[in-house]
Amino acid sequence: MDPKAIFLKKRDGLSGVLKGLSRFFIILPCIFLPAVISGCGSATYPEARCKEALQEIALKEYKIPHIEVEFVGTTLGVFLPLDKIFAADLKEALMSGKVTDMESLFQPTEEAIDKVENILFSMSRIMLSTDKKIDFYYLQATDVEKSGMDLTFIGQIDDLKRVRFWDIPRSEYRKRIIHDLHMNRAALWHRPVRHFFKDLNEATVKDVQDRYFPNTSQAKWAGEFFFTDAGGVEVSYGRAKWTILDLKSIPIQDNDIVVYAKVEVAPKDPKDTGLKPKVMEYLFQVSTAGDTEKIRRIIPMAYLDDKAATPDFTFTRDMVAKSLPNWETEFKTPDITTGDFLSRQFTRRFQMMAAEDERIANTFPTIKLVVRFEPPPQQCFLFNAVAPLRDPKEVAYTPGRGLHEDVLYFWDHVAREFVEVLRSYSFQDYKSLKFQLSQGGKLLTWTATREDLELFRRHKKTLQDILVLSVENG
Amino acid sequence: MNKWRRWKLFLMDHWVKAAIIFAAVLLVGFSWWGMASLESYYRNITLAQLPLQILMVIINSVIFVYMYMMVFQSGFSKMGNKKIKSNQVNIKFSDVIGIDEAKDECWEVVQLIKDHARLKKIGGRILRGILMMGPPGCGKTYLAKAIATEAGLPFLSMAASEFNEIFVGVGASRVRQLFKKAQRLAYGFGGCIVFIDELDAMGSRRTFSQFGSGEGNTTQNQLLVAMDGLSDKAENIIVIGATNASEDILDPALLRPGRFDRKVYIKKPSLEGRESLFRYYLSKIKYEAGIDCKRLARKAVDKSPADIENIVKESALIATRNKKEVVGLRDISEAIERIELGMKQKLTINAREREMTAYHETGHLITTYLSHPRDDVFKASIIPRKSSLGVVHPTSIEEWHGRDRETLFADIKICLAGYVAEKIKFNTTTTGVTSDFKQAMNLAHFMVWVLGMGPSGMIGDYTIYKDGNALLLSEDVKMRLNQDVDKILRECMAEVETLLLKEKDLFERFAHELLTKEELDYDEIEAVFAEFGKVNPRRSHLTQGTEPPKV
Repeated sequence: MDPKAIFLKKRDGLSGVLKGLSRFFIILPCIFLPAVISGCGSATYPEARCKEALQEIALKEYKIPHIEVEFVGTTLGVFLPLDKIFAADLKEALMSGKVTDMESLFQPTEEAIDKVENILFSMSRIMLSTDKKIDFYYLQATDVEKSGMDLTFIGQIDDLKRVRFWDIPRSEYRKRIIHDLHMNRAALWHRPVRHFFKDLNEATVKDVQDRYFPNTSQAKWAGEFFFTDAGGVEVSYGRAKWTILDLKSIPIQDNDIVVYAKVEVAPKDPKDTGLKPKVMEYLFQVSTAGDTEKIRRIIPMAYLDDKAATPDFTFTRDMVAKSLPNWETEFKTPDITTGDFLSRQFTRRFQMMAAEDERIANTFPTIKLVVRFEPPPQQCFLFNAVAPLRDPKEVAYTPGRGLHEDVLYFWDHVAREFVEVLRSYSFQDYKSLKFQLSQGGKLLTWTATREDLELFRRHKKTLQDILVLSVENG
Repeated sequence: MNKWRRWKLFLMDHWVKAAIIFAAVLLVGFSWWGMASLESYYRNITLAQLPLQILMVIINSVIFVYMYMMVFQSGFSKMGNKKIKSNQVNIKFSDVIGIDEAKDECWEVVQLIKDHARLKKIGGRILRGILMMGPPGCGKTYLAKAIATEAGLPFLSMAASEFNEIFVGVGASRVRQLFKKAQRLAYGFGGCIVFIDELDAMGSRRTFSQFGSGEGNTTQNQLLVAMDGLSDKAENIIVIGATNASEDILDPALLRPGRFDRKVYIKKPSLEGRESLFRYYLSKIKYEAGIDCKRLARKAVDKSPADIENIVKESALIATRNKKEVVGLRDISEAIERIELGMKQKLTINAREREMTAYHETGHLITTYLSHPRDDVFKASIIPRKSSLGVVHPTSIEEWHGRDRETLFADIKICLAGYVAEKIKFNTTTTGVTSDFKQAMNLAHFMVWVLGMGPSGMIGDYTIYKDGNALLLSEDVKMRLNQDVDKILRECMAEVETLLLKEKDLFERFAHELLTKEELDYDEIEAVFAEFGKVNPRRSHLTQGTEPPKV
């Protein structure tokens, strides 16, 4: 049989063609139907499995063993501890006095970039294929070993979708991701504690003795930290595997910090029946001197109530339990709202604009600006800038002449970017944009309503036309 | 065992279906697996795009089917061949006028087609192809249609140029299609006539090179094969080809017996033919009762039926423009003149140049009238037409199929007469002689080099001794031949000079007439000559077959 006869029979004319086509259109749905049905399944990462799934992807696909995942509101937060974020040693570089370009100090290592990108990609996979409502993501990559610096990324899930569908260009997407650099004090404070538990897992009894208990007899601590066998005889390596579940800290004096550690202890050898897995809590008194932290005392939580055991330690178990939620942590996911996200984005955008625009850069020698979103009832964006004019004789505002033309130029650019960005986000939940500046002990506020800003966007009104001044005694 | 064999047989019969079903099942399985392995987001995207993809598949499949139909089912090779039923053609042999000989030959063919059964009984074979050759506008297509009507057969008409296409193989495919269609029609109607107009477009000699044959060769080969294949069919398919080109141009394979068995040469109509044609075409319009068609036929020597139809059509237009109810002789004369000489041009000419033109044309006029054995002066004019400032229009009063030495001499003299006239009158000459000299030289050269009419008595066609463009003749022979050419030209010029000097009064009179009237018609010219006692030397002997006049 001639294969082409499946669709067409020679000399059948139009009816033959139609017949062939009708056969074809019967076969077509049969091929596509299974694909359609297979698409009707549930989300790949259901809400309950999101955290584990993300950790699993990180471990299996990118060999990143430890990440923390949490959800706060509609924000997915991920903590990525790294041994080293920046290629340069910040302290050494600064001490050498040879640094000419500060930015070069903050160049992440290739490994750090890879890890961050991999985690961001894993997060996007989870966010896009889950049934949990996620609007924002927050990634905190922290240098827990060297500098204690945080590299944070905040983004919106819709931006991610839009860039994937070429609805926005990559350059715009980059502007929409808020990345920041912070110092994470808690990470530095927790460093010796982390090292301590690591040593318990890996170091010899002698090393642990030398590093942490130089003035304590081995018999006193070896039993507590399972450096003895079931019969009570000391062994060279600890038989327990310590896993940190939680670390929190609170400074008590200038150089003294108390670190709370919640750990899980389990036998390294599964056959070791003498050690049952359990959760233990400790308080570590850590002192900082310069850039080094040192454990001065380790107090098991159970000992806190025994005043005889800890006569010079003022904390009680109750006090710790009550105050613990307020202690500092290495990682905390912010509950991001759209207004908040946009205000952070605007801050970044306007800072960039001020640096890039020649006229603004020449007119204002220093600009410190911030955009805040005031939640209801004000429900407005607040643009606050401390930007003195280059000529000290001139002021930003005089009642007779109004706003200085350079200030107006700067604000006009700000307002233009503001309305365009909000339009692209279709964000309507705000009432106004306020420009604030302090002058002569008074706080001057110019308000532009949303409706007026829309007219401004359409070039129907100028910025001067829509700004309304109000004065408060600052 | 039997069961297994039956299964095997079933599979052998339906292996394509089985393969398609297997492929479809595989495809379904892979689609399912593929979709299931995607994360839900990508799955949703894929599903969201599915309607568009299905639409694209449908569009693509429609395009594919269309292309398939066009290319592989000979869609591109479909032609605009016009299938015409015999009753739609409706041109009878009685409508074919002026080409009686060709008509007779074709009538024989019609009889053969009609008596096909009898011919077969005797053991004879029907003609497969008729090749009609002749100048354009002589009614080849018309005759072919008449054959179809008289034979009562469908008529497929196609121009040979329609076989040519940019796509390789399309020409051959179209030939196949044409003959396939002809066979179908022959099957249904008992015969079919395939008419291929301008056959030289596809039937010219094939060329062969190391790079293979061209598309034209392929098309012609297919035509040869198709015409050979006709013998296998019982149906009457007669291929009629028409061409203006000579036989030499056509491929010999096409002309061999069994393909175009019969060649019909269609010539321009004779005097009687032209007369009938004038009568036929004039019958379709309103014309003056006094118009003599014979006289018109004399005026229209060497005109094809299409030319005559055009003359009549043009005369009707002229009559309409002149707000006349019927076409008159003057309208027809004007139409002939317009077709022959072109439209009059409004060109500003100064008096001196006008005078020189008048004397130049008078030279032509007097020489033609008094020395040409065959041609009459139909018109003389100093109104600019086309690229000339003036014209003397000679026309043969009767058709001749060859030319004698005297005629050629006379032609040369006429050409040189303009030059001589200018020289006699103004003692200078103009560029107006360019085309005259060119023609005179050509004629003289032809007489000496080809026709053996030179005064030195050298006989033969010396142009055949060629290697490319170079003549393989000694310089001496060439010189002698060229001297003969020169001698003829000088002799002719001397004779013209003598003539014009002898007829000085006539010369001045005609120039004056031309300067006054700008145009002189046949009758006016005759009148002036009569006034000077000159009788037309041609009338008496040509029609009565007497000796030509001494010139």
